Amino acid sequence: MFGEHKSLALILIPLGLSCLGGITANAQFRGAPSQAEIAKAKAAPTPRAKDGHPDLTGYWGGPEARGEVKVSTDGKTIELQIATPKGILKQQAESGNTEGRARRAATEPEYKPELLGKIKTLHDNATDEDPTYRCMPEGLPRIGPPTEIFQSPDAVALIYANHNLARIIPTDGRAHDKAADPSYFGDAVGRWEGDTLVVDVNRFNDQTWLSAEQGYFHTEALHVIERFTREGNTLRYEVTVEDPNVLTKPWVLNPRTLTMGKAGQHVIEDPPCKEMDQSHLVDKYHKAP
Amino acid sequence: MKLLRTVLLISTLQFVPTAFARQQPQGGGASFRPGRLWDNTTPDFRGIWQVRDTAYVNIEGHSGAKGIAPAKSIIVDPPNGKIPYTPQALAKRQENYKNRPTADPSLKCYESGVPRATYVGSPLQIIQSPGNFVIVYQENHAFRYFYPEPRSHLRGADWWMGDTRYHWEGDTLVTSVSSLTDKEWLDQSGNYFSVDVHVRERYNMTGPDTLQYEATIEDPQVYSRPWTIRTVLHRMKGAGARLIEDECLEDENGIHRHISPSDPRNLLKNDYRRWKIADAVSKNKK
Repeated sequence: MFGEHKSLALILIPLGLSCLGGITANAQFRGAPSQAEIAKAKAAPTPRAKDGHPDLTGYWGGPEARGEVKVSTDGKTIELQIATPKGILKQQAESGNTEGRARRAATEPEYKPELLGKIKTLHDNATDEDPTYRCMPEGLPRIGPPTEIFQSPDAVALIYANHNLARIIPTDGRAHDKAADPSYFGDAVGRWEGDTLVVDVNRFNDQTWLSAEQGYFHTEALHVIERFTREGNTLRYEVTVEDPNVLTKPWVLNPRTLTMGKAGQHVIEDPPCKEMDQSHLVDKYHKAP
Repeated sequence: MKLLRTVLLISTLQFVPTAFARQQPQGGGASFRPGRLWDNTTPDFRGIWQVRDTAYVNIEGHSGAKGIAPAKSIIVDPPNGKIPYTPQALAKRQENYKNRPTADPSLKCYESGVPRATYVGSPLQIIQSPGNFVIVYQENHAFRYFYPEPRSHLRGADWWMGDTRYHWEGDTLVTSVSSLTDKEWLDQSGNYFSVDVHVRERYNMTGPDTLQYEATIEDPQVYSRPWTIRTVLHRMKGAGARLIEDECLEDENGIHRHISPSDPRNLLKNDYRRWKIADAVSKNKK
Protein backbone atom coordinates (compact mmCIF):
# COMPACT_ATOMS: atom_id res chain seq x y z
CA MET A 1 0.00 0.00 0.00
CA PHE A 2 2.75 2.32 0.98
CA GLY A 3 4.70 1.17 -2.01
CA GLU A 4 1.86 2.24 -4.24
CA HIS A 5 1.81 5.64 -2.68
CA LYS A 6 5.45 6.09 -3.36
CA SER A 7 5.22 4.76 -6.87
CA LEU A 8 2.71 7.44 -7.63
CA ALA A 9 4.99 10.09 -6.22
CA LEU A 10 7.76 8.58 -8.23
CA ILE A 11 5.93 9.36 -11.40
CA LEU A 12 5.03 12.85 -10.43
CA ILE A 13 8.12 14.19 -8.83
CA PRO A 14 10.65 13.67 -11.57
CA LEU A 15 8.32 15.73 -13.71
CA GLY A 16 8.57 18.53 -11.22
CA LEU A 17 4.88 18.28 -10.49
CA SER A 18 2.92 17.63 -7.43
CA CYS A 19 -0.34 18.01 -5.72
CA LEU A 20 -3.43 16.15 -6.68
CA GLY A 21 -5.99 18.88 -6.63
CA GLY A 22 -9.35 18.59 -5.01
CA ILE A 23 -12.15 17.99 -7.48
CA THR A 24 -15.45 16.40 -6.76
CA ALA A 25 -15.73 13.22 -8.68
CA ASN A 26 -19.12 12.65 -10.14
CA ALA A 27 -19.63 9.57 -8.18
CA GLN A 28 -18.46 6.49 -9.94
CA PHE A 29 -14.75 6.49 -9.16
CA ARG A 30 -13.81 3.23 -7.48
CA GLY A 31 -17.30 2.88 -6.19
CA ALA A 32 -17.24 6.22 -4.43
CA PRO A 33 -20.73 6.84 -3.11
CA SER A 34 -22.95 9.30 -4.85
CA GLN A 35 -24.58 12.05 -2.89
CA ALA A 36 -27.72 9.94 -2.94
CA GLU A 37 -25.83 7.04 -1.43
CA ILE A 38 -24.42 9.26 1.28
CA ALA A 39 -27.87 10.61 1.96
CA LYS A 40 -29.17 7.07 2.23
CA ALA A 41 -26.40 6.09 4.65
CA LYS A 42 -27.10 9.22 6.65
CA ALA A 43 -30.76 8.36 6.90
CA ALA A 44 -30.02 5.16 8.80
CA PRO A 45 -30.55 5.42 12.55
CA THR A 46 -27.53 6.63 14.53
CA PRO A 47 -26.70 3.98 17.11
CA ARG A 48 -26.07 5.27 20.62
CA ALA A 49 -23.78 3.93 23.27
CA LYS A 50 -25.01 3.22 26.78
CA ASP A 51 -23.91 6.67 27.91
CA GLY A 52 -26.13 8.33 25.30
CA HIS A 53 -23.35 9.48 22.98
CA PRO A 54 -23.39 8.36 19.35
CA ASP A 55 -21.50 5.09 19.00
CA LEU A 56 -18.67 5.70 16.56
CA THR A 57 -17.71 2.03 16.57
CA GLY A 58 -17.42 0.73 13.07
CA TYR A 59 -15.32 0.17 10.00
CA TRP A 60 -15.19 3.55 8.29
CA GLY A 61 -13.19 2.43 5.31
CA GLY A 62 -16.26 2.25 3.15
CA PRO A 63 -16.20 3.96 -0.22
CA GLU A 64 -15.39 7.52 0.43
CA ALA A 65 -16.65 10.70 -1.15
CA ARG A 66 -13.29 12.35 -0.97
CA GLY A 67 -13.20 13.58 -4.51
CA GLU A 68 -9.63 14.25 -5.49
CA VAL A 69 -10.14 12.91 -8.96
CA LYS A 70 -12.37 13.81 -11.87
CA VAL A 71 -13.91 10.99 -13.86
CA SER A 72 -15.08 11.60 -17.39
CA THR A 73 -18.72 11.06 -18.19
CA ASP A 74 -18.02 7.86 -20.08
CA GLY A 75 -15.97 6.65 -17.10
CA LYS A 76 -12.96 5.91 -19.26
CA THR A 77 -10.60 8.65 -18.21
CA ILE A 78 -9.60 9.87 -14.80
CA GLU A 79 -8.23 13.36 -14.51
CA LEU A 80 -5.86 14.34 -11.74
CA GLN A 81 -5.59 18.02 -11.14
CA ILE A 82 -1.90 18.73 -10.95
CA ALA A 83 -0.33 22.00 -9.95
CA THR A 84 3.29 23.03 -9.96
CA PRO A 85 4.86 24.17 -6.70
CA LYS A 86 5.25 27.57 -8.24
CA GLY A 87 1.56 27.63 -8.92
CA ILE A 88 0.74 26.71 -5.35
CA LEU A 89 2.86 29.52 -3.98
CA LYS A 90 1.28 31.88 -6.45
CA GLN A 91 -2.15 30.80 -5.32
CA GLN A 92 -1.24 31.61 -1.78
CA ALA A 93 -0.06 35.04 -2.79
CA GLU A 94 -3.02 35.84 -4.99
CA SER A 95 -6.62 35.93 -4.10
CA GLY A 96 -8.39 32.99 -5.68
CA ASN A 97 -10.94 34.09 -8.22
CA THR A 98 -11.51 30.92 -10.08
CA GLU A 99 -13.34 28.07 -8.51
CA GLY A 100 -10.24 25.89 -8.35
CA ARG A 101 -8.18 28.54 -6.66
CA ALA A 102 -10.86 29.27 -4.14
CA ARG A 103 -11.10 25.63 -3.26
CA ARG A 104 -7.39 25.28 -2.98
CA ALA A 105 -7.11 28.35 -0.86
CA ALA A 106 -9.69 26.84 1.42
CA THR A 107 -7.80 23.60 1.79
CA GLU A 108 -4.19 24.70 2.04
CA PRO A 109 -2.51 26.08 5.15
CA GLU A 110 -1.50 29.72 5.00
CA TYR A 111 2.13 30.11 5.94
CA LYS A 112 3.89 33.25 6.97
CA PRO A 113 5.30 34.83 3.81
CA GLU A 114 8.89 34.54 4.98
CA LEU A 115 8.51 30.76 5.23
CA LEU A 116 7.30 30.17 1.68
CA GLY A 117 10.87 29.86 0.46
CA LYS A 118 11.63 27.15 2.96
CA ILE A 119 8.47 25.30 1.98
CA LYS A 120 9.45 25.50 -1.65
CA THR A 121 12.90 24.14 -0.86
CA LEU A 122 11.43 21.28 1.16
CA HIS A 123 8.96 20.62 -1.58
CA ASP A 124 11.53 20.67 -4.35
CA ASN A 125 13.56 18.17 -2.38
CA ALA A 126 10.61 16.08 -1.33
CA THR A 127 12.21 12.80 -2.31
CA ASP A 128 14.91 13.58 0.18
CA GLU A 129 12.99 15.51 2.77
CA ASP A 130 9.57 13.91 3.00
CA PRO A 131 9.70 11.91 6.23
CA THR A 132 7.26 9.23 5.10
CA TYR A 133 9.55 8.21 2.27
CA ARG A 134 11.62 6.56 4.96
CA CYS A 135 8.71 4.90 6.71
CA MET A 136 8.58 7.65 9.31
CA PRO A 137 5.16 8.17 10.92
CA GLU A 138 2.78 10.46 9.04
CA GLY A 139 1.65 12.26 12.16
CA LEU A 140 -1.40 14.49 12.25
CA PRO A 141 -3.28 15.58 10.23
CA ARG A 142 -1.47 13.87 7.38
CA ILE A 143 -2.50 10.37 8.39
CA GLY A 144 -6.12 11.32 7.66
CA PRO A 145 -9.20 9.83 9.27
CA PRO A 146 -9.06 6.43 10.97
CA THR A 147 -10.18 3.34 9.13
CA GLU A 148 -11.88 1.79 12.10
CA ILE A 149 -13.11 3.00 15.49
CA PHE A 150 -13.89 1.19 18.72
CA GLN A 151 -15.63 3.14 21.41
CA SER A 152 -16.05 2.44 25.06
CA PRO A 153 -17.18 5.01 27.63
CA ASP A 154 -13.71 5.88 28.92
CA ALA A 155 -11.64 5.55 25.75
CA VAL A 156 -11.95 5.49 21.99
CA ALA A 157 -9.51 3.48 19.87
CA LEU A 158 -8.76 4.84 16.42
CA ILE A 159 -7.32 2.20 14.09
CA TYR A 160 -5.50 3.11 10.90
CA ALA A 161 -4.97 0.62 8.10
CA ASN A 162 -1.71 2.37 7.26
CA HIS A 163 1.30 1.19 9.27
CA ASN A 164 -0.93 -0.79 11.64
CA LEU A 165 -1.37 2.27 13.78
CA ALA A 166 -3.67 2.51 16.77
CA ARG A 167 -4.32 5.69 18.74
CA ILE A 168 -6.19 5.62 22.01
CA ILE A 169 -8.13 8.75 22.89
CA PRO A 170 -9.07 8.93 26.56
CA THR A 171 -12.59 10.29 27.06
CA ASP A 172 -12.62 9.99 30.83
CA GLY A 173 -12.39 13.73 31.36
CA ARG A 174 -8.67 13.88 31.97
CA ALA A 175 -6.66 16.95 30.99
CA HIS A 176 -3.62 17.02 28.74
CA ASP A 177 -0.51 15.48 30.19
CA LYS A 178 1.74 18.49 30.56
CA ALA A 179 4.74 16.25 31.12
CA ALA A 180 4.24 14.22 27.94
CA ASP A 181 7.22 14.04 25.65
CA PRO A 182 6.68 15.56 22.21
CA SER A 183 5.65 12.79 19.86
CA TYR A 184 4.59 12.09 16.28
CA PHE A 185 0.91 11.78 17.12
CA GLY A 186 0.90 14.07 20.12
CA ASP A 187 -0.98 13.88 23.40
CA ALA A 188 -4.69 13.49 22.70
CA VAL A 189 -7.69 13.95 24.95
CA GLY A 190 -11.29 13.59 23.86
CA ARG A 191 -14.53 15.15 25.00
CA TRP A 192 -18.09 15.21 23.75
CA GLU A 193 -19.63 18.42 22.49
CA GLY A 194 -23.21 17.41 21.93
CA ASP A 195 -23.07 14.54 19.46
CA THR A 196 -19.57 15.36 18.27
CA LEU A 197 -16.43 13.77 19.65
CA VAL A 198 -13.80 16.49 19.85
CA VAL A 199 -10.21 15.29 20.07
CA ASP A 200 -7.70 17.89 21.14
CA VAL A 201 -4.08 17.06 20.40
CA ASN A 202 -0.91 18.90 21.38
CA ARG A 203 2.66 18.06 22.45
CA PHE A 204 3.77 17.14 18.93
CA ASN A 205 7.35 16.84 17.81
CA ASP A 206 8.35 18.76 14.69
CA GLN A 207 9.31 15.74 12.62
CA THR A 208 6.23 15.39 10.43
CA TRP A 209 4.63 17.26 7.57
CA LEU A 210 1.06 18.47 7.64
CA SER A 211 0.22 16.94 4.28
CA ALA A 212 1.78 14.89 1.58
CA GLU A 213 4.66 16.26 -0.45
CA GLN A 214 4.05 19.95 0.02
CA GLY A 215 6.86 20.68 2.42
CA TYR A 216 4.31 21.86 4.95
CA PHE A 217 6.47 21.63 8.03
CA HIS A 218 5.43 22.67 11.51
CA THR A 219 6.88 23.30 14.92
CA GLU A 220 6.23 21.75 18.32
CA ALA A 221 3.53 24.38 18.85
CA LEU A 222 1.26 22.38 16.54
CA HIS A 223 -2.26 22.02 17.88
CA VAL A 224 -4.74 19.78 16.08
CA ILE A 225 -8.45 19.57 16.78
CA GLU A 226 -10.29 16.64 15.25
CA ARG A 227 -14.08 16.35 15.22
CA PHE A 228 -15.98 13.13 14.65
CA THR A 229 -19.71 13.35 14.01
CA ARG A 230 -21.72 10.26 13.24
CA GLU A 231 -24.95 10.62 11.30
CA GLY A 232 -26.54 7.32 10.46
CA ASN A 233 -23.90 5.27 8.73
CA THR A 234 -21.73 8.24 7.83
CA LEU A 235 -18.92 9.78 9.81
CA ARG A 236 -17.95 13.39 9.30
CA TYR A 237 -14.30 14.07 10.00
CA GLU A 238 -13.24 17.67 10.47
CA VAL A 239 -9.79 18.93 11.32
CA THR A 240 -8.44 22.30 12.38
CA VAL A 241 -4.70 22.84 12.55
CA GLU A 242 -3.01 25.61 14.48
CA ASP A 243 0.65 26.51 14.66
CA PRO A 244 1.11 30.21 15.33
CA ASN A 245 4.84 29.85 14.74
CA VAL A 246 4.38 29.13 11.06
CA LEU A 247 0.75 29.68 10.08
CA THR A 248 -0.91 33.06 9.78
CA LYS A 249 -4.27 31.60 10.75
CA PRO A 250 -5.69 28.21 11.71
CA TRP A 251 -5.91 25.81 8.81
CA VAL A 252 -9.35 24.27 8.45
CA LEU A 253 -9.20 21.19 6.27
CA ASN A 254 -12.03 20.28 3.97
CA PRO A 255 -14.34 18.02 5.95
CA ARG A 256 -14.48 14.43 4.82
CA THR A 257 -17.47 12.17 4.99
CA LEU A 258 -16.75 8.50 5.48
CA THR A 259 -19.25 5.76 5.06
CA MET A 260 -19.60 2.54 7.00
CA GLY A 261 -18.08 -0.55 5.45
CA LYS A 262 -19.73 -3.93 5.24
CA ALA A 263 -20.84 -5.61 8.44
CA GLY A 264 -18.09 -7.77 9.86
CA GLN A 265 -15.39 -5.90 7.96
CA HIS A 266 -12.26 -5.05 9.92
CA VAL A 267 -8.81 -3.67 9.25
CA ILE A 268 -6.48 -6.27 7.84
CA GLU A 269 -2.88 -6.17 8.95
CA ASP A 270 -0.66 -4.08 6.70
CA PRO A 271 2.77 -5.48 5.84
CA PRO A 272 5.53 -3.72 7.78
CA CYS A 273 6.74 -0.56 6.07
CA LYS A 274 10.03 -1.24 4.42
CA GLU A 275 11.96 1.32 2.50
CA MET A 276 12.43 -0.11 -0.97
CA ASP A 277 12.04 2.66 -3.46
CA GLN A 278 15.21 4.49 -2.55
CA SER A 279 17.28 2.58 -5.08
CA HIS A 280 14.73 3.29 -7.82
CA LEU A 281 14.56 7.03 -7.36
CA VAL A 282 16.21 9.13 -9.99
CA ASP A 283 16.63 12.79 -9.13
CA LYS A 284 19.39 15.11 -8.13
CA TYR A 285 20.17 13.10 -5.01
CA HIS A 286 19.57 9.67 -6.40
CA LYS A 287 21.34 8.88 -9.64
CA ALA A 288 20.47 6.05 -11.91
CA PRO A 289 22.91 3.18 -11.41
CA MET B 1 -0.51 -5.02 -4.11
CA LYS B 2 -2.57 -5.01 -0.97
CA LEU B 3 -5.68 -5.49 -3.01
CA LEU B 4 -4.11 -8.44 -4.71
CA ARG B 5 -3.14 -9.92 -1.41
CA THR B 6 -6.64 -9.52 -0.10
CA VAL B 7 -8.05 -11.20 -3.15
CA LEU B 8 -5.63 -14.07 -2.74
CA LEU B 9 -6.67 -14.42 0.85
CA ILE B 10 -10.29 -14.62 -0.03
CA SER B 11 -9.66 -17.15 -2.74
CA THR B 12 -7.69 -19.37 -0.39
CA LEU B 13 -10.20 -19.13 2.38
CA GLN B 14 -10.97 -22.56 3.66
CA PHE B 15 -13.22 -23.70 6.38
CA VAL B 16 -11.33 -25.22 9.20
CA PRO B 17 -13.05 -26.59 12.23
CA THR B 18 -11.71 -24.72 15.21
CA ALA B 19 -11.48 -27.19 18.01
CA PHE B 20 -10.72 -25.86 21.41
CA ALA B 21 -9.15 -27.73 24.20
CA ARG B 22 -11.74 -27.47 26.93
CA GLN B 23 -9.16 -27.42 29.63
CA GLN B 24 -9.95 -25.78 32.90
CA PRO B 25 -7.95 -22.77 33.98
CA GLN B 26 -5.33 -24.04 36.35
CA GLY B 27 -4.54 -20.87 38.20
CA GLY B 28 -7.56 -20.74 40.46
CA GLY B 29 -9.18 -18.10 38.28
CA ALA B 30 -12.66 -19.44 38.73
CA SER B 31 -12.94 -17.96 42.20
CA PHE B 32 -13.01 -14.32 41.08
CA ARG B 33 -15.99 -12.93 39.23
CA PRO B 34 -15.08 -9.90 37.12
CA GLY B 35 -17.42 -6.96 36.65
CA ARG B 36 -19.72 -6.80 33.65
CA LEU B 37 -20.04 -4.48 30.73
CA TRP B 38 -23.24 -2.50 30.37
CA ASP B 39 -24.95 -5.42 28.69
CA ASN B 40 -24.73 -7.08 32.14
CA THR B 41 -23.35 -10.19 30.50
CA THR B 42 -19.86 -9.72 29.08
CA PRO B 43 -16.98 -9.87 31.59
CA ASP B 44 -15.27 -6.48 31.76
CA PHE B 45 -11.53 -6.79 31.10
CA ARG B 46 -11.06 -3.15 30.15
CA GLY B 47 -7.99 -1.43 31.42
CA ILE B 48 -4.27 -1.03 30.95
CA TRP B 49 -2.32 -4.16 31.82
CA GLN B 50 1.32 -5.05 32.06
CA VAL B 51 3.47 -7.98 33.15
CA ARG B 52 6.02 -7.32 35.85
CA ASP B 53 8.62 -9.95 35.06
CA THR B 54 11.35 -10.15 32.45
CA ALA B 55 10.28 -13.39 30.79
CA TYR B 56 10.54 -11.54 27.48
CA VAL B 57 14.28 -12.18 27.63
CA ASN B 58 13.78 -15.95 27.70
CA ILE B 59 10.47 -17.60 28.42
CA GLU B 60 12.37 -20.68 29.62
CA GLY B 61 13.85 -18.56 32.38
CA HIS B 62 17.13 -16.73 32.59
CA SER B 63 19.63 -15.41 35.08
CA GLY B 64 20.02 -11.72 35.68
CA ALA B 65 22.15 -9.45 33.56
CA LYS B 66 23.14 -5.83 33.72
CA GLY B 67 19.91 -3.89 34.16
CA ILE B 68 17.72 -6.96 33.72
CA ALA B 69 16.24 -8.88 36.60
CA PRO B 70 16.31 -12.68 36.44
CA ALA B 71 13.09 -14.51 35.68
CA LYS B 72 11.92 -18.05 36.07
CA SER B 73 10.36 -20.01 33.25
CA ILE B 74 6.76 -19.07 32.49
CA ILE B 75 6.24 -22.49 30.90
CA VAL B 76 3.89 -24.48 33.11
CA ASP B 77 3.55 -27.47 30.85
CA PRO B 78 5.75 -29.47 30.45
CA PRO B 79 6.60 -29.30 34.14
CA ASN B 80 10.34 -28.95 33.54
CA GLY B 81 9.72 -25.48 32.09
CA LYS B 82 11.42 -26.25 28.79
CA ILE B 83 10.00 -25.99 25.30
CA PRO B 84 9.63 -29.53 23.86
CA TYR B 85 11.53 -28.89 20.64
CA THR B 86 12.18 -31.66 18.17
CA PRO B 87 15.94 -32.29 17.87
CA GLN B 88 16.25 -30.45 14.52
CA ALA B 89 14.20 -27.54 15.78
CA LEU B 90 16.33 -27.30 18.89
CA ALA B 91 19.42 -26.94 16.71
CA LYS B 92 17.79 -24.01 14.92
CA ARG B 93 16.81 -22.44 18.22
CA GLN B 94 20.44 -22.66 19.38
CA GLU B 95 21.51 -21.04 16.12
CA ASN B 96 18.96 -18.26 16.74
CA TYR B 97 20.28 -17.87 20.28
CA LYS B 98 23.81 -17.42 19.01
CA ASN B 99 22.68 -14.75 16.54
CA ARG B 100 20.21 -13.05 18.85
CA PRO B 101 21.99 -9.67 19.02
CA THR B 102 21.16 -9.12 15.35
CA ALA B 103 18.61 -11.75 14.38
CA ASP B 104 15.83 -10.90 16.83
CA PRO B 105 13.06 -9.50 14.59
CA SER B 106 11.91 -7.08 17.26
CA LEU B 107 15.28 -5.35 16.95
CA LYS B 108 14.23 -4.48 13.43
CA CYS B 109 11.06 -2.82 14.66
CA TYR B 110 8.75 -5.64 13.66
CA GLU B 111 5.72 -6.20 15.80
CA SER B 112 6.25 -8.72 18.54
CA GLY B 113 3.40 -10.96 17.51
CA VAL B 114 1.41 -13.45 19.52
CA PRO B 115 1.97 -14.37 22.30
CA ARG B 116 5.15 -12.31 22.70
CA ALA B 117 3.43 -8.92 22.66
CA THR B 118 1.62 -9.88 25.86
CA TYR B 119 4.72 -10.29 28.00
CA VAL B 120 7.03 -7.95 26.13
CA GLY B 121 7.25 -5.74 29.19
CA SER B 122 5.31 -2.73 27.97
CA PRO B 123 1.62 -2.25 28.69
CA LEU B 124 -1.39 -3.14 26.61
CA GLN B 125 -4.89 -1.71 26.74
CA ILE B 126 -8.08 -3.70 26.35
CA ILE B 127 -10.94 -1.81 24.71
CA GLN B 128 -14.29 -3.53 24.93
CA SER B 129 -17.88 -2.98 24.12
CA PRO B 130 -20.53 -5.66 23.88
CA GLY B 131 -19.51 -7.74 20.88
CA ASN B 132 -16.13 -6.07 20.40
CA PHE B 133 -12.82 -6.99 21.98
CA VAL B 134 -9.66 -5.16 20.94
CA ILE B 135 -6.18 -5.12 22.41
CA VAL B 136 -3.88 -2.21 21.63
CA TYR B 137 -0.27 -2.82 22.56
CA GLN B 138 2.00 0.06 23.47
CA GLU B 139 4.94 -1.52 21.71
CA ASN B 140 4.87 -0.42 18.09
CA HIS B 141 1.22 0.67 18.54
CA ALA B 142 0.18 -2.82 17.44
CA PHE B 143 -3.42 -3.91 17.77
CA ARG B 144 -5.48 -7.06 17.54
CA TYR B 145 -9.15 -7.35 16.77
CA PHE B 146 -10.68 -10.47 18.25
CA TYR B 147 -13.12 -11.95 15.75
CA PRO B 148 -16.04 -13.64 17.41
CA GLU B 149 -16.57 -17.22 16.47
CA PRO B 150 -17.86 -19.00 14.56
CA ARG B 151 -15.72 -17.93 11.70
CA SER B 152 -13.01 -20.14 10.34
CA HIS B 153 -9.40 -19.07 10.23
CA LEU B 154 -8.09 -17.54 7.05
CA ARG B 155 -5.38 -19.61 5.47
CA GLY B 156 -2.47 -18.46 3.40
CA ALA B 157 -1.85 -15.32 5.42
CA ASP B 158 1.20 -14.70 7.51
CA TRP B 159 0.48 -11.83 9.84
CA TRP B 160 2.59 -10.57 12.69
CA MET B 161 -0.41 -10.39 15.01
CA GLY B 162 -2.17 -13.36 13.46
CA ASP B 163 -5.86 -14.05 13.02
CA THR B 164 -7.67 -14.25 16.34
CA ARG B 165 -11.03 -15.93 17.01
CA TYR B 166 -12.53 -16.00 20.46
CA HIS B 167 -15.37 -17.15 22.60
CA TRP B 168 -16.20 -16.99 26.28
CA GLU B 169 -16.06 -20.02 28.54
CA GLY B 170 -17.74 -18.63 31.60
CA ASP B 171 -15.62 -15.67 32.62
CA THR B 172 -12.60 -16.84 30.63
CA LEU B 173 -11.92 -15.46 27.17
CA VAL B 174 -10.59 -18.28 25.01
CA THR B 175 -8.94 -17.61 21.67
CA SER B 176 -7.64 -19.53 18.74
CA VAL B 177 -4.84 -17.73 16.92
CA SER B 178 -3.55 -18.79 13.54
CA SER B 179 -2.02 -17.27 10.39
CA LEU B 180 1.06 -16.11 12.28
CA THR B 181 4.25 -15.39 10.41
CA ASP B 182 7.28 -17.55 11.12
CA LYS B 183 9.48 -14.46 11.05
CA GLU B 184 8.64 -13.65 14.63
CA TRP B 185 10.20 -15.03 17.78
CA LEU B 186 8.76 -15.88 21.16
CA ASP B 187 11.37 -13.95 23.13
CA GLN B 188 14.82 -12.40 22.84
CA SER B 189 16.50 -15.79 23.03
CA GLY B 190 15.54 -17.19 19.67
CA ASN B 191 12.65 -19.42 20.71
CA TYR B 192 10.48 -19.70 17.65
CA PHE B 193 7.68 -21.42 15.77
CA SER B 194 6.73 -22.10 12.15
CA VAL B 195 3.81 -20.91 10.00
CA ASP B 196 1.90 -23.98 11.15
CA VAL B 197 1.72 -22.68 14.70
CA HIS B 198 -1.61 -22.62 16.46
CA VAL B 199 -1.88 -20.61 19.66
CA ARG B 200 -4.78 -21.00 22.05
CA GLU B 201 -4.97 -18.27 24.63
CA ARG B 202 -6.98 -18.00 27.82
CA TYR B 203 -7.53 -14.67 29.54
CA ASN B 204 -9.17 -14.64 32.93
CA MET B 205 -9.18 -12.28 35.86
CA THR B 206 -7.91 -13.73 39.11
CA GLY B 207 -8.59 -10.56 41.09
CA PRO B 208 -9.76 -7.00 40.50
CA ASP B 209 -6.33 -5.98 39.25
CA THR B 210 -4.81 -9.18 37.90
CA LEU B 211 -5.38 -10.73 34.52
CA GLN B 212 -4.01 -14.22 34.06
CA TYR B 213 -2.75 -15.06 30.60
CA GLU B 214 -2.26 -18.57 29.39
CA ALA B 215 -1.19 -19.67 25.93
CA THR B 216 -0.92 -23.19 24.60
CA ILE B 217 1.34 -23.38 21.61
CA GLU B 218 1.08 -26.20 19.14
CA ASP B 219 3.29 -26.69 16.12
CA PRO B 220 4.12 -30.22 15.00
CA GLN B 221 6.85 -28.88 12.73
CA VAL B 222 8.83 -27.56 15.67
CA TYR B 223 7.60 -29.13 18.91
CA SER B 224 7.10 -32.75 19.90
CA ARG B 225 3.95 -31.80 21.86
CA PRO B 226 1.84 -28.74 22.67
CA TRP B 227 3.13 -26.68 25.56
CA THR B 228 1.73 -23.93 27.74
CA ILE B 229 2.93 -20.66 29.21
CA ARG B 230 1.21 -18.75 31.99
CA THR B 231 1.85 -15.26 33.26
CA VAL B 232 0.01 -12.53 35.10
CA LEU B 233 -0.75 -9.03 33.88
CA HIS B 234 -1.24 -6.32 36.48
CA ARG B 235 -3.59 -3.41 36.11
CA MET B 236 -1.94 -0.01 35.72
CA LYS B 237 -3.93 2.15 38.07
CA GLY B 238 -4.05 5.87 38.54
CA ALA B 239 -5.94 8.55 36.66
CA GLY B 240 -3.01 9.33 34.40
CA ALA B 241 -2.35 5.77 33.26
CA ARG B 242 -2.14 5.59 29.51
CA LEU B 243 -0.29 4.02 26.64
CA ILE B 244 2.56 6.18 25.46
CA GLU B 245 3.46 6.61 21.82
CA ASP B 246 6.12 4.16 20.84
CA GLU B 247 7.74 4.48 17.45
CA CYS B 248 10.49 2.10 16.50
CA LEU B 249 12.47 3.58 13.64
CA GLU B 250 15.71 3.14 11.82
CA ASP B 251 18.53 5.51 12.61
CA GLU B 252 21.24 6.89 10.39
CA ASN B 253 23.38 3.81 10.80
CA GLY B 254 20.62 1.48 9.80
CA ILE B 255 20.07 0.46 13.40
CA HIS B 256 16.48 0.21 14.50
CA ARG B 257 15.54 1.51 17.87
CA HIS B 258 12.72 2.89 19.85
CA ILE B 259 13.01 6.61 19.35
CA SER B 260 12.37 8.93 22.21
CA PRO B 261 11.87 12.37 20.74
CA SER B 262 12.81 13.92 24.07
CA ASP B 263 16.22 12.33 24.00
CA PRO B 264 18.57 14.53 21.96
CA ARG B 265 20.84 11.58 21.31
CA ASN B 266 17.98 9.84 19.58
CA LEU B 267 16.33 12.69 17.82
CA LEU B 268 18.57 13.97 15.11
CA LYS B 269 18.01 17.38 13.73
CA ASN B 270 16.04 16.72 10.59
CA ASP B 271 15.81 13.09 11.40
CA TYR B 272 15.21 11.89 7.89
CA ARG B 273 18.23 13.64 6.45
CA ARG B 274 20.24 10.72 7.71
CA TRP B 275 19.42 8.96 4.49
CA LYS B 276 21.70 11.26 2.65
CA ILE B 277 24.42 10.14 5.03
CA ALA B 278 23.44 6.53 4.52
CA ASP B 279 23.67 7.00 0.78
CA ALA B 280 27.11 8.50 1.07
CA VAL B 281 28.21 5.65 3.32
CA SER B 282 27.00 3.04 0.90
CA LYS B 283 28.72 4.80 -2.00
CA ASN B 284 31.98 4.87 -0.07
CA LYS B 285 31.65 1.17 0.54
CA LYS B 286 31.46 0.59 -3.18
